[in-house]
Amino acid sequence: MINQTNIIFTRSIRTNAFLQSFLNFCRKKPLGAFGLAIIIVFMVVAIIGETFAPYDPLAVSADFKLKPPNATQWFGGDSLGRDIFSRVLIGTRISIIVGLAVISIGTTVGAILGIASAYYGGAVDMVLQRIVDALMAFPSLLLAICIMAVLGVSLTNVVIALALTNIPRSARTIRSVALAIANTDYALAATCIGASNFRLMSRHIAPNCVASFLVIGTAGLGIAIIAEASLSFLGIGSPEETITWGVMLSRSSLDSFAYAPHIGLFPGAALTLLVFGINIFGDAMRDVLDPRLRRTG
Amino acid sequence: MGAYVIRRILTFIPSAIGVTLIIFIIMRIVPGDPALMILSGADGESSYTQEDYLLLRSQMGLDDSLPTQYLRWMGQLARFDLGVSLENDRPISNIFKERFPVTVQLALLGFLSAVVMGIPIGIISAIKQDSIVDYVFRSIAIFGLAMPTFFVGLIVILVLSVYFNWFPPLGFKNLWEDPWISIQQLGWPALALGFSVNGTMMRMMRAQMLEVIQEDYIRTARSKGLPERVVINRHAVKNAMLPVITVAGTLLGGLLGGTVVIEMIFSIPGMGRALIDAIYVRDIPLIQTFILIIALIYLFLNLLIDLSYGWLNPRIRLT
Repeated sequence: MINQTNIIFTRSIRTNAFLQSFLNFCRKKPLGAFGLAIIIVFMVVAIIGETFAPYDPLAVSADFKLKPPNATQWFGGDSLGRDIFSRVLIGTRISIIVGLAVISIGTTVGAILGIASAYYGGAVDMVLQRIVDALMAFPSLLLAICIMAVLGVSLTNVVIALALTNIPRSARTIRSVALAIANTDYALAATCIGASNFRLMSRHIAPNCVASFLVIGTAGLGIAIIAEASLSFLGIGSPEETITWGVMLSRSSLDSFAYAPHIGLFPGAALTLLVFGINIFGDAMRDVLDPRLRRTG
Repeated sequence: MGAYVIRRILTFIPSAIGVTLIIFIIMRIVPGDPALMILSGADGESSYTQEDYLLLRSQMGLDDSLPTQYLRWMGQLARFDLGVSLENDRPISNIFKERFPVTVQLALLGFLSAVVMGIPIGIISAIKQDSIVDYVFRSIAIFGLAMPTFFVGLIVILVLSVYFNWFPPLGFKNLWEDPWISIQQLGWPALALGFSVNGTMMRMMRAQMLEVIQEDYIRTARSKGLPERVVINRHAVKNAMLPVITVAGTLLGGLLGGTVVIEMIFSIPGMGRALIDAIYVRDIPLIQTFILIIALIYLFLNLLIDLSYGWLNPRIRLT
C-alpha cells in the first residue's frame, strides 16, 4: 500500500517537473513556444487531416479547373480541377513523414559514425572523417540532385538522397561532442570496471549526445522539407502521383501559376509556415539544451 | 602564414579526390549500369536490342574493371578532356565555356545582394536589440530561411509579371557585353537568391555585434567621448565582421544550390539549367562532369574563405 502511494507520488512529481520545465521554456522562449505550437498544429493535421478533407484529393474535375478560392473550395482548384485545400491537408502527412524519415535515418547514421569515429580514433576516425569531408565538399542540394539523377524519381529515393546529405553534418558535430565525453572520468571509470566497447558507446557516450542530436535533427528537419520541395519542383523528387507539398509546387503543376497564383501560394505558404515554426523552435531548443552549438542569434 | 597556406592547400587535394570518388560511386550504383540507363531513355521505356546494349557498353568502357574505369576518367580529367555530351555530341568543355560565365554572374550578384541585405540589417538589428525593428528584421530573416528558394523566385515572377507587367528582356547578354540588359535580366533573380540565403549572414552579424558591443574596448571608445556612429562603424563592426566570414562557406553552398533552382525559374541559360536539362534526357557524361565542376568550385571557394580567414585572424593559423 505504502509502496503504491510512493510510486504514484514519484510519478506525479515527475510529471510536475516536466510540466514545470515546459512552462519555464514557454516563459523564457516565447518565440520557441510559438514555433512548437505551429509544429503541433501541423502534426495534428498530419494525423487527422484526412478526415476533414472536403473532397477526394485525386478527383479530377473540369468544373473546378484553376478555380480561384471560394466558399466551397477554400484554396481553389488546381490545373486538373483537384481541390487544393484537401490536397494541402493530406500533403501535410507525406511531407512531414518524408522530413522525419530523412532526419531519423540521416542524423542517426551520422551520429553512429560520429560516436564510432570519436571512440575508436586512429585509423577508423581517419577513414570516416575523410568520407565525411568528401560528402561535405558538395553543396547539399547538388549532392541530392546527383543521387536523384541516378536513382530516378520515387519517394524512397528522395528519402535516401536527402538522408545521405544529412549524414556529414551530424557525424561531424556528434563526433566532437562524443570526443569530449570519451575523455571524461566516468568514461574512464566505466572502462576500468570492464565495460565493453559497445556498452561504453551505447550506455555512456550516446545518451550524452542526445541533446546535440535533437538540435541537429530539428535544424535538419526544416532543411529536409525544403529540399524535398526543391527536388520535386525540379521534377526529380517525389513522383507526380503522390500528394506532397513539393509535388503541388512542381514545375509541371505550376504551368498556370501566373494566371492562377493560388495553385502555388497555398502549398508554399503551408510549407513556409511549418519550416518557420520548426526553425524558431529549433533555435530556442538549441539555446536551452546545448549552448555549445550556439552560433547565430 | 606560409606554412598555413601550404597546409590548407594540401588538404584541398584529398578532398578533391574524394569528390571524384563519390561522384564515380554514385554514377555506378545504378541498378543495371549507365549504358542501360541511357538506352532506356528518359521515360525508361524506349526499346533497344541486346547488340545496341553491348556495343554501347564497350564504347563507354564499361567492360573494364571499376578501378580501370575510374583511373581512365581521372586521366581524361587531367588532360582537361571533359568528354562529349550524349544529347547533341558537343564537347562538354564547349558547353561549359558557354554556361559557366552566366552562373558566375548570377552567383556573384546573388552573393552581393545577400551581403548588402544581410550585413546592414544584422547591424541595425543588434544596435536596436529587442525593439520592434529588431523583431521585424529577425522575422524577415527567419522567413527567408524558411522559404524554399524557388518559392521566393515564383513570387518575384508573379509580382513582376502580373502586377507590374514587367518581363526581363529576351536574349541573354553578359554583364561585360551589355551591362544594362544583363542587370535587368539577372537583377531580380539575384535578389531572390540573395533573399533566400541572407538570413544566415544577418543572424551571424547580429550575434557577433551583440557580443562585440559588450567588450571593454567599446566601453573605452564610448567613455573617451567618441560619437556613437564612430564607435559602431570603426570599432564594433570591424571586429564583428571577422567571424561572419566563416558562415560565407555555408552561404555559398546554399547559393550554388540556389542558382540551379533560380536558373530554372527565370530561364537563365547557366550551368544549373544545363544540369537539370541533362537529367531529363539522361545525358550521363554531362551530369557527371557538371556536378564535378560545381563541387570543385565549391571546394575552391571554401579554400579561399579559409585562407582569407587565416589572413585576417592570425590566431587561426596555429591550430
